[in-house]
Amino acid sequence: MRLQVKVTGHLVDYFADSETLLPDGATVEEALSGLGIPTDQVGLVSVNGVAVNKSVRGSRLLSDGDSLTVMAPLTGG
Amino acid sequence: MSWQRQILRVNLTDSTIRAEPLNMQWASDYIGERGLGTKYLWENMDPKAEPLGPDNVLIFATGPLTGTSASTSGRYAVLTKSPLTGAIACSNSGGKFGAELKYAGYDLLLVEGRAEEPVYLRIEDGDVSLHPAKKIWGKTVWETEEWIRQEHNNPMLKVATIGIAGERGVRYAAVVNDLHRAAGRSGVGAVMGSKNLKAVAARGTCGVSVDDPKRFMEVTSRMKDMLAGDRGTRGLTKYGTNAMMDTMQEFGGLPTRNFKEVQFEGYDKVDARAMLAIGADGHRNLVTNTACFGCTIACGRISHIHKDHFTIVNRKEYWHASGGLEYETAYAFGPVVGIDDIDACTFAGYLMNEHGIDPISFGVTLAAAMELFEMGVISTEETDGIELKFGNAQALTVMAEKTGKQEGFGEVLGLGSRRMCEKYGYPELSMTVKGQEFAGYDSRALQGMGLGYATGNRGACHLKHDTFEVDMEDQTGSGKAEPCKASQDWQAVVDSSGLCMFTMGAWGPEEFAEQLDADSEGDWTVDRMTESGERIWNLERMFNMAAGLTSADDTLPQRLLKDPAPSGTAKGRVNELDLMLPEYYRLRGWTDDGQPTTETLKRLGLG
Repeated sequence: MRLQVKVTGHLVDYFADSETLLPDGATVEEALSGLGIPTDQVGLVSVNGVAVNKSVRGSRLLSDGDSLTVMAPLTGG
Repeated sequence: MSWQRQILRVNLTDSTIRAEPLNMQWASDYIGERGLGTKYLWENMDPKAEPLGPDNVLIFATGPLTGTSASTSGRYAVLTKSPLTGAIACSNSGGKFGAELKYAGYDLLLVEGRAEEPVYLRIEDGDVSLHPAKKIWGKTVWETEEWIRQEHNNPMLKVATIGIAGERGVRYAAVVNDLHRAAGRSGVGAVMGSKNLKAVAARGTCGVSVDDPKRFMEVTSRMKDMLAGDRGTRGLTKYGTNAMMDTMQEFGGLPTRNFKEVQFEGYDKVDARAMLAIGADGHRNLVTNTACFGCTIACGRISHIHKDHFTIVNRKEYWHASGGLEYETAYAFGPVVGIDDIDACTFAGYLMNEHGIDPISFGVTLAAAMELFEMGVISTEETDGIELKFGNAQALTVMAEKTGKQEGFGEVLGLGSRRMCEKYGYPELSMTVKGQEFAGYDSRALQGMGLGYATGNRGACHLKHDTFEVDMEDQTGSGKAEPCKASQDWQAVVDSSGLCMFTMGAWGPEEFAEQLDADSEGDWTVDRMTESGERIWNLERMFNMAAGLTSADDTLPQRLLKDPAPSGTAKGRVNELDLMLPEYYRLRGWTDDGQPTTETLKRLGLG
């Protein structure tokens, strides 16, 4: 399946493209792994604009055409 | 033991200068910098004093680690009673001035009274003198720093100064040091101006000693390795704090057009990647990054503006590189005023540094003025013909300069958002807490941030607590009181140490404790430091209560409590302050109306 991907902050150093291909039935956690983004560097993930909290990253299934946004942690400043 | 063990007391009314021993018991109880300065403020002034009157006290305080070889050890704080909020003000800055003040022989500078005529203070290795400042009264920050160095034929002097904004009582005037680092918030520069004190110039060669040099060197070297190895911290080096802009956009917490919206369509024209982008003509906004004293992160930005941009095309004096956009300045000149012109934003940032103004308060005040203009409440007759509409980049830069020089409508903007909105009869449009303007995080998306804003001892402030992680994970108000309270206490520790908060991505409490323990006499543990942080927070609260603030001031604007977020991950939510605040008071050991109980004060040694 094809996903639209947007990453924010310094995470662009891990993945700078705007889309990726993943096996059907992939979870959010598997998508992060496929993108090469360390999970400890992720502040929040949203799918189609809806937040996916850490506890459900491993079970939230993705579908072809989904829009995945991977946000860096916030630090103030 | 990195203390010099003496402070400097300067009374401007009678021009007396006196060195006094540092109160080591207070240094032990309050750590330094923010905490120690709060204690000195508490003991040396009546909290009911008029902020711009001679009875207010102005303090420049270093921390125990300021000036040491620890990374980011250039921090100092300016404390006073704020003319913006009427509450305690504690504004933290980097650069090199703080370390220089300590090298000159003083841990803390306490200024009282008011000079009859403008003066500046020179401190060189224990040689301290007041000088007439008539020749530099009316000069900019940049002109003043240069003039003082030339006057004393000493290019090594580090200068903390105010611009015209501070002289003229702009309620959010800053104290700027080293050209573009600032104790920016809460109007500490206006207090300095009210005392007729234009600048403080310091140069020292004393150095500092630490309690256990061998261990200190080992510990701080290891801590620098931790910073270098931390991927998030490396992101600060490469992208600066403005790397947060696109995160806030995607999260839906980016205050836009005076908080009417939470996402800005033009965010990617003013964010960190826009600063790095190279245009067709080879121009790039970001020139390089820069570091404060002793810092191994170097998050500071140095930028330049396209020479044919309307702001500087006929003003060659701005064709140089200078302090660039941080996240807060990018937010305050971008989304919150609906502007996506990076050169205009950069120029407005120059003007803030040059004239000594807090960019957050200026931008949010301008945003309220733009909303009033679009409502028809303010007209072009008042704004010197400027169309004060959201998105008008010319309005931003013209008003930044007018505010800096206190000309025309700039005098109205200099009041700050609360006073300006009250003047026009629309106080609900002021995006402030206790009169201080919000930083770039919307409380509907970041619930714990909203609680921290509401309970902030200096009003709306994003730097006195850290609930980002829990706020991103859960967009409700549930369970936010405890991390808010705990992070407020710990942030008070970091702010009191002499080190920078941007180390906190790599360093936890143990790392701070290890460095302070190697640096200072006595045993410094996380538990002891955490208790000190709670003591500091409560003493700040006591100052505010004595100044006349109440629990009614622990609130948020109705827009954030009543109007749901129109988009983003928190779409449909309002801030749940009514859920969080009672739990917060209980966790603090305060009464239902926000007063620290006798037991709490006794436990912290404050009763």
